[in-house]
Amino acid sequence: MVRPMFGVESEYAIAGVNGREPMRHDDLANRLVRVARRQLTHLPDAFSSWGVFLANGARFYIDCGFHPEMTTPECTTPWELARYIKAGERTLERLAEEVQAEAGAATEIMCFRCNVEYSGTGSTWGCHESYLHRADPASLPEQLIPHLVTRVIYSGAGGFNPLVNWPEFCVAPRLLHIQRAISGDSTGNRGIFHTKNESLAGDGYNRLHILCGESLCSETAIVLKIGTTALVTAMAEEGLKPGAGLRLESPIEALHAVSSDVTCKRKLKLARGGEATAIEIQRRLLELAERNREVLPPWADGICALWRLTLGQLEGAPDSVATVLDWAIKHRLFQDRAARRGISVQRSAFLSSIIQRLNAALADIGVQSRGVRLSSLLAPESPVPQQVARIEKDLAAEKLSWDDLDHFLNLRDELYQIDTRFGQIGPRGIFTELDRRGVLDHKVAAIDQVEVAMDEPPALGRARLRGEAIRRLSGQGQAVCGWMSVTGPDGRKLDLSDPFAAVEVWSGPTAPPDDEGAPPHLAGDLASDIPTRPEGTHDFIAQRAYQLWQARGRPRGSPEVDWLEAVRELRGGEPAGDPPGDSGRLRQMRIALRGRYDRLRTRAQGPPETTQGPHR
Amino acid sequence: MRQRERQDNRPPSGGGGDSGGGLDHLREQANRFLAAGDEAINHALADSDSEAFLRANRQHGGE
Repeated sequence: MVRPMFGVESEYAIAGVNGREPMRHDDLANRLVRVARRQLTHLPDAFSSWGVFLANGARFYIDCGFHPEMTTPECTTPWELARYIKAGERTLERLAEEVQAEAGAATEIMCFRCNVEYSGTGSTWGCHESYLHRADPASLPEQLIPHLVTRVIYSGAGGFNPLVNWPEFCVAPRLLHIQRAISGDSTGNRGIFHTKNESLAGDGYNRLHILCGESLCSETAIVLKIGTTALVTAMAEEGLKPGAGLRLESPIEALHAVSSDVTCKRKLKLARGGEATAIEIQRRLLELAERNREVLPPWADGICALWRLTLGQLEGAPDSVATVLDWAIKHRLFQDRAARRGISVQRSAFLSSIIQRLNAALADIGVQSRGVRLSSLLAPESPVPQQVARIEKDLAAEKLSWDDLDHFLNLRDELYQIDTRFGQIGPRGIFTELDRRGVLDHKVAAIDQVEVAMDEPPALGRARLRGEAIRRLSGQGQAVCGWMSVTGPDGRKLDLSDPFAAVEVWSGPTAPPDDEGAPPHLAGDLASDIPTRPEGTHDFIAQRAYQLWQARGRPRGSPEVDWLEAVRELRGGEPAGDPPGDSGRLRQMRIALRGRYDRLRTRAQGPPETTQGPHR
Repeated sequence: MRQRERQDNRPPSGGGGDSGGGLDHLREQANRFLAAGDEAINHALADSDSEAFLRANRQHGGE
């Protein structure tokens, strides 16, 4: 019988306003890290100066783009994992509250689990899942992809298509950014199946790393997403071939179809011929799990029951999930909001088609439509006067005017804001408020004691050892923590390479400072290749940032992460960002040196990616 | 209304109702949900300009 273990990394959007002025994201990130270090029992992160490991075994850090990220400790049941996701969010909420209290009454700090954003930058916030397994990694894509594509019917976050500028509802907006069936890339050209296999565990273990998921609010959706995927992975590990006969002719087309289909009834083409709906494919997987319970973990019964119940609801009475699943809750709320604003589904479709025609007219003359105001199109010097005249006639034929389109655009922005606010962390979040009012049916038994989980690690596995060591060593000199080890202040190491370790095994006393806590490629590069430090010079920061970027696998986008890390090292370990009194000098240095750093990167991999464009 | 906890095969409250009473119950439940949703949204959006909100939340980077 397999022994599943899994965890989730959740990225959150953060925003702050001071009075009416937006706060800088690097400033917010710095403040969060400072508060975390001051208030939480922790050890510094062996990987990143922007991160800490917490007493519950979790990791909190700042990722590229200066957004906070919480990684749960390793868990052994879906309910436990859901509890730790909630615990991480409550911790983030407390940190944000503290930052807000420090910054003064005119400041508001907001954190969102929002998956996508709608201003056209193409940014997304990931929710990555990791599943420990011992299967042959090469065998997994075929076995997992049918499940990953079709689980969307209960694991979709709901929202609007972020690739267009009219309000087109979809079941899983972030998944519309997925462009490949299989990929090793995690920040662009993402795949349904991610081939990264950095086990973060000892020999014999692999880690399935799934990118094509979304952050969720509903407990039912979270538990189902994790539980079913863990079961399908376990079935693959047991050689049950869960993907047999379910191979999709075009996984990407199928993913986008399921992600856009609120009926869940669209037929997907199978590679062997024939078609099946997402519900039918999920039923096949469920039945396979039910027939093989003896080789699945004891908790499989509970997941199968919830799985069966939810598929039945989706098939027979879709309205009944409108208080259960994230996407369905949003769908009902958005439709109601539009109706309250006097926009029927039909009118919405018609006005959306008008926006598409204006987009096409602008595209014909080489103008990007995002950011173009309607008033400028209607002005005497309109760049597309003929098209405007034609559309005006079509509007009049429907007894509509430009004011109606303007009203519709306002509704669109309002819906985008509602979607973002739906998953806002804390009491202002719309989901939280609906839950408080008792009108949702998403709760799952056994996701309780979230406050306890903020401080206590899971009962089983290495997360418990990690958490206990952190509690003992917090605040002690040079102690640091990684996923696979804890290094004490005396250099002794706690080996956590066994994910199911139950007893602390320390070695040392003078283990080298840069060994297995970091991934091998990082350890070598970072330890050995630091240039002789010409402190405070341009070259040091530029070269060091370049090395850090290489060590991160040369990801596209977000060069500031490496840049600020290099600045931090230059300062001798202080968090990056501009400290009081130093901001002018550093900012000048950053501007002056950025060109050199970008040139180095350009030589290695072409120009750094901008934040514009829909495919980040 | 108390939150329903889901870990077994119980049908959703009202979900299996096919009588007139069941439909009324569903309708009432849906109306209560929508009224609560409207209030929650109005509370969340109080005094905010959606266009300005989206501009302030424009992200740089992210995954």
